[in-house]
Amino acid sequence: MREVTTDTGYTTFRDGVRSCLPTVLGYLGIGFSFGIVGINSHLNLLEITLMSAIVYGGSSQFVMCGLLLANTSITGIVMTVFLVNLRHLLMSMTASPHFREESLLSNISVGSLLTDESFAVFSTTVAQEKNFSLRWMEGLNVTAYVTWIVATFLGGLVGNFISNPEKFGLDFALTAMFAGLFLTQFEWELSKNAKKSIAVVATVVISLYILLGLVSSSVAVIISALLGCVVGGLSNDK
Amino acid sequence: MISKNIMLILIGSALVTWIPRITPFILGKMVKFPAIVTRFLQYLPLSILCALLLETVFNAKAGTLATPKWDVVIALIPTVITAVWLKDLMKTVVVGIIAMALVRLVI
Repeated sequence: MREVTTDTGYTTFRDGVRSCLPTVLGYLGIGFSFGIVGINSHLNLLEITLMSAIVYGGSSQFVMCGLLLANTSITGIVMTVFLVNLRHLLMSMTASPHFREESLLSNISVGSLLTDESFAVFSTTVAQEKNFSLRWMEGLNVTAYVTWIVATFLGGLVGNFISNPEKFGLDFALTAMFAGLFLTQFEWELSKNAKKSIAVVATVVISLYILLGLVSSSVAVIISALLGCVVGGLSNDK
Repeated sequence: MISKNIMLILIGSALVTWIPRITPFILGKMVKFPAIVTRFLQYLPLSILCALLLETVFNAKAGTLATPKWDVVIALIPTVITAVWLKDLMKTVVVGIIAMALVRLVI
């Protein structure tokens, strides 16, 4: 057991649920859009709900719908999903050292439910130098997971009546959420080391823009994020 | 009911998503990552969130330069202002969705 005392607000499962709440609306918007898109891609309610429950990767699920409509082969779809979701490997590598003292099963459960958004909330907590518990992380992860599945199901229910969630701006929930999460993280990093964080962000922006013209966007995200890490890791701590 | 093809796609996709997600957590139990790796990965949250945000802003096609999605760019202006000003993720998402709905109504 870890003997480190945790900070108030980062101890119980309930605390984790509370930490997840700001992102819940984002999950609802995106999950609901996905449900609608899924039904309009000729999948049924059971299939889209199951997809959200076992694949659990927002952007990859939209990509799968597009590929299904285009009659892509099973291997083609699975390989694309692999690439789109490969960035989780980096996020898991970053998060996992914080859970070394926990059991193998707990580690697997935290890893299984790690998403861009839960990783962002987790990272901000780390950046704020808060001590958190495993229960807190589980509360955060499970809330997101349940919200995602429920939102998908609800979207699927209305999918037969609405064909374009874009009209309502729902798809923008993803961009808005990334914008909010990025800016929160950026603010903390700026307060710690302004020069270095600007160098990291500038590296990512420039390299991503160039890479988007050369490779698929999921690969571009991974390479530009790694380049950002290299610039951050190599520059002097001052 | 679920067709056999869809079932295969779902199981395959679930596995290729799950394995990269959990492998570092399993390895991390057995070995300690080298200090250099940890040092570099310190910057991953900032880098990857920046990359994921920008990815949603551009129309990308390998072989040509990426072009901005202008509706996204316009809707991002009130979204970013809200995020910086109110520092509230939920309000940021609400403002974003409304802004985008309005932009699509006009464009």
